[in-house]
Amino acid sequence: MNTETLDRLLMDRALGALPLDSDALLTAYLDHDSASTARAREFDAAATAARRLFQQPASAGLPAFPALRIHKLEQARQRLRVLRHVAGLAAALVVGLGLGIGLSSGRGQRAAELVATVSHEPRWVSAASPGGPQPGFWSTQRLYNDAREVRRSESVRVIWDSAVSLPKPGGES
Amino acid sequence: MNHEALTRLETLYRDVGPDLLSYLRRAAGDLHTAEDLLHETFLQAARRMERLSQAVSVRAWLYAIARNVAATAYRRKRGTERLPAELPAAAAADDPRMARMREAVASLPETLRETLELRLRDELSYEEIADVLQIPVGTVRSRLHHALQRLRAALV
Repeated sequence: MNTETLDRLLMDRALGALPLDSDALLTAYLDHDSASTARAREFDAAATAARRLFQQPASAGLPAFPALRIHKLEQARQRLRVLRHVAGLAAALVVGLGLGIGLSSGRGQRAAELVATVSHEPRWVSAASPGGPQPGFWSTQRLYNDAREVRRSESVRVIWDSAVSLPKPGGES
Repeated sequence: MNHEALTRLETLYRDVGPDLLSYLRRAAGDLHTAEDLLHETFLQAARRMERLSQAVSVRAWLYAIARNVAATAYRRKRGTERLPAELPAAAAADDPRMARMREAVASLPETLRETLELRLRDELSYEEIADVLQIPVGTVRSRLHHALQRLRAALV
């Protein structure tokens, strides 16, 4: 047998890590090889001496099981779990409120802009009074007036006098 | 933690506690500190009871926790060297071979010595040692073989 392989097997045997069937086979091999047997004894002696050296004197005894400390630990963990749960709910509430406030203030701002825009119209309308100077071809006032005329001509009156029938157009307004 | 888990932990404490106390005493150097570390080990185990069912070996799982607890305590003390092993002086004095063995063990690199102790003193299997030290089983076997070869050379 290869020396390296034999040494590995002998050391596993000395350390008590060889499976029983492998141990039996190795013992049978060693019975026929005196040199390998001597080597096996050296490894066994080294392991035995080390075991003896590592043996501790019997200790004074095991201290009591820390049941109370474990109980307090578990209580603290439960309190932490509840706190985390509450913190998560509070965070969700704050985020939701923040989003809601942000969205509603944004709409209010746009409404104010529309009012400001609409509030400009009377000034522009009064500037386009009959008899006054005509606005330029590409002027904003002329384009606005034209758009109003188109919208007025497109407006249609709808007649819907019955809940069981569809609404129908009813002539110019 | 329910009553069943607590009972199981207490049973483990009685079964494995003495070996762990011995292991921690080697790491800590004195019995009082070792007892504190033992309690800390089981407090850590109580925090991770859900991992117990996934552990290949309960002994290895507890030893791994104990090792980490001892290492943390060591770092807090800013210890840079391992405390000398509590090798029985009487055994070495009676036999010159044992004196040589004591020297040889003391001269082993930390990694080899720790692995050898877990095998010869704590009687953990190769797989359990691998679990405790977080190394492959092949590395465990290699370390043990290197250590034993050095000890054999010291006796020859």
